[in-house]
Amino acid sequence: MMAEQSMGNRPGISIHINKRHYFAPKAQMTGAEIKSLAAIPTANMLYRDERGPGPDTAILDERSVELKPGDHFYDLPIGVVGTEGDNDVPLSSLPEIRARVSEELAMQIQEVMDDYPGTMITVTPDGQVQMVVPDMRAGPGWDPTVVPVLITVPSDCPRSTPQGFDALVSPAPGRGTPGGVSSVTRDGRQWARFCWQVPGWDPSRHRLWHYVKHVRRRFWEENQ
Amino acid sequence: MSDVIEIFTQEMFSTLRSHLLGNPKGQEEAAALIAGIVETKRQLRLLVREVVPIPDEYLLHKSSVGLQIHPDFLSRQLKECRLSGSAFMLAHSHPFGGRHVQFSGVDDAGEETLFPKILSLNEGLPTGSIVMSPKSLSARVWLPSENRPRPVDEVRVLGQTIERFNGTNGGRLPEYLVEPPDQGLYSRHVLAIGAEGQRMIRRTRVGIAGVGGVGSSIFTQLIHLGIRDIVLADPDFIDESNLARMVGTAKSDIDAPKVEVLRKLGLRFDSQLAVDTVKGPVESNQARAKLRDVDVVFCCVDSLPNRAFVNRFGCQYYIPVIDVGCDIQMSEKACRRVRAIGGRVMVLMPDGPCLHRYGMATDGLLTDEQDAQRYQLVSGKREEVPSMVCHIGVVASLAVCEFVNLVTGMASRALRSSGVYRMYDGISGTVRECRGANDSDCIVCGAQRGLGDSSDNRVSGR
Repeated sequence: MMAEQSMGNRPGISIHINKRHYFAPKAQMTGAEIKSLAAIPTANMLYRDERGPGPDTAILDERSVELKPGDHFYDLPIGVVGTEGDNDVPLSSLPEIRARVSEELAMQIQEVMDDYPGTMITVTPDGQVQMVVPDMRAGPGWDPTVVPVLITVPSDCPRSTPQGFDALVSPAPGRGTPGGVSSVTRDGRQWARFCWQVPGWDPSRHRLWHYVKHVRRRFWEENQ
Repeated sequence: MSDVIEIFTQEMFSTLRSHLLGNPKGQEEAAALIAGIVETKRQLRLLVREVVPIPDEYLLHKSSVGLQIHPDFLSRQLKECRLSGSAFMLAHSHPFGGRHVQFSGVDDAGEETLFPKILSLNEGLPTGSIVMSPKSLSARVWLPSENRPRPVDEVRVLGQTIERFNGTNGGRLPEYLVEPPDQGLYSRHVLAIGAEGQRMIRRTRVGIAGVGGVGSSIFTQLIHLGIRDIVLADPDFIDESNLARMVGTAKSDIDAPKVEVLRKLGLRFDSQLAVDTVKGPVESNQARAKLRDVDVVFCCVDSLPNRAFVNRFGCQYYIPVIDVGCDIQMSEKACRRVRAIGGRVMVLMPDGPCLHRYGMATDGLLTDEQDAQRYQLVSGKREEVPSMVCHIGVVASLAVCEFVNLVTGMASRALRSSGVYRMYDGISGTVRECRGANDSDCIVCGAQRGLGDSSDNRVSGR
């Protein structure tokens, strides 16, 4: 039989929950009842702090425990970490992309992905969308001949057109650098920046897919 | 506000990195870190002494974009921290993070729920977190006095060199924390080790335990090297015979404390030099308090028990120790002749072999020397040993070269953690490398490793 303490008009067993003092109204309580005593969120796990080096005892909600004066309890939530919302994560599945960009842009990206499997999207902190199209054929005039290209996509595309793209590529030996191509440093490496744009971009009929197709055609033309 | 520094041994950092970033499916991983604590006016140091990967059975959800950790795992690790007076830290990966990985909104929300509770349960000891991508890391710490996390200023890895990362993006330490090196004064150094190397030297706080012949020679080299912050500990006063071995001393210094004479010498070279002195033995409370937050300690004390103490101290506080000794041995015959002139330089890393494992501080040797010390104390006779400034200078220079290698990574042949040390033979005039220990499994040093001040925070039960 547990000893009961009487503290004026508040009889009960003196226990501590999260280092605060409580009087348990009865000698046996369930985990849920103890949580309720200290207004602990129901999703958290309750533990009895055991003396000595052994692990503390988890008290499940439905489990009934015999309380002893001086018992200490504490609760812990589930530890949550993650990268949802982290702007570094490449998105390659359509549901993920739809959650991060407008429906109109997601549909345009889907068109590109249908033709270029493996295309990935990254959303920067300022909402800028970067699209990596892998395995773009640059042709024999370039080194290497097949490269991934990084296109910065305006969030209101197709009302705005991409202003260009970057690629880790350089003209093949003996070839000059064509017009509209400059050099930029990104992540400590030298990238070629292509300021190629679709002539006469018309938002009513052009989409992102047209821009990617135009890039491919320009590479082909530069090889001629 | 003091700086916050997290320190890993190479082994701990490699274990953490390979666990967090080794998932073949590109999923996130996490680990609990148990860390000793060192708190001084200048710095809060968290010494990571245990990495506990979180097994899959404790992960309620695991994917490439998130983890949910069962509270049972957290409860067990927290108990361990409470009992050992250690800090609890949670590390996880962003496998697709780039060169400047940051904590995500999910991380922020998770910590805001969990970490105040951990702070309370772990007796108000600091709680930290690290997020790591293949190319960078970020670290932050929750302190009881602040209700928001604050970025960690530096993450340090004690490997072949002392790697120092910016705690907020894993890159180089921000330039604003260090003054640009004096191009005129150190122009020749910069040609050899670069401006970055000179900055690393400048921002290294060095302790010298024992400032007799070897210690004073090291001190003068260090201030010329560009060190700006030094702690000196030595109980002795200068007598006449010291003048022949202590670089920079004069007859007018006789009877002055050795540490004070060197402090004045240093200030003459650079009036901005910070020299903290302790006129007491290295094992005194005052010396321990001041040496706790140095970055490297030179051990130049006379006695073996004191060397063993400094070695254990380095293990306890994650401070690399450069142990330096020099002596001349005479034959026992009536006509005394020089039998050997020797010097030794050892870099003792916290997770590397200790003097005991090298066979240089065995119980028998320690007892013999303690007996000899007791005899000197009782008899009042202090045995004078042969010593010459020229040999001392060679050994001191070898030690300072090792220091430069350790701090800047200048030379490729390093002695750290490999059971190798350097011996000087004054008769042949040669320096050779010796292998003295194959493992670092010392129960004495191992028990102290990375505890910091945590041994004072231990609680008996609850």
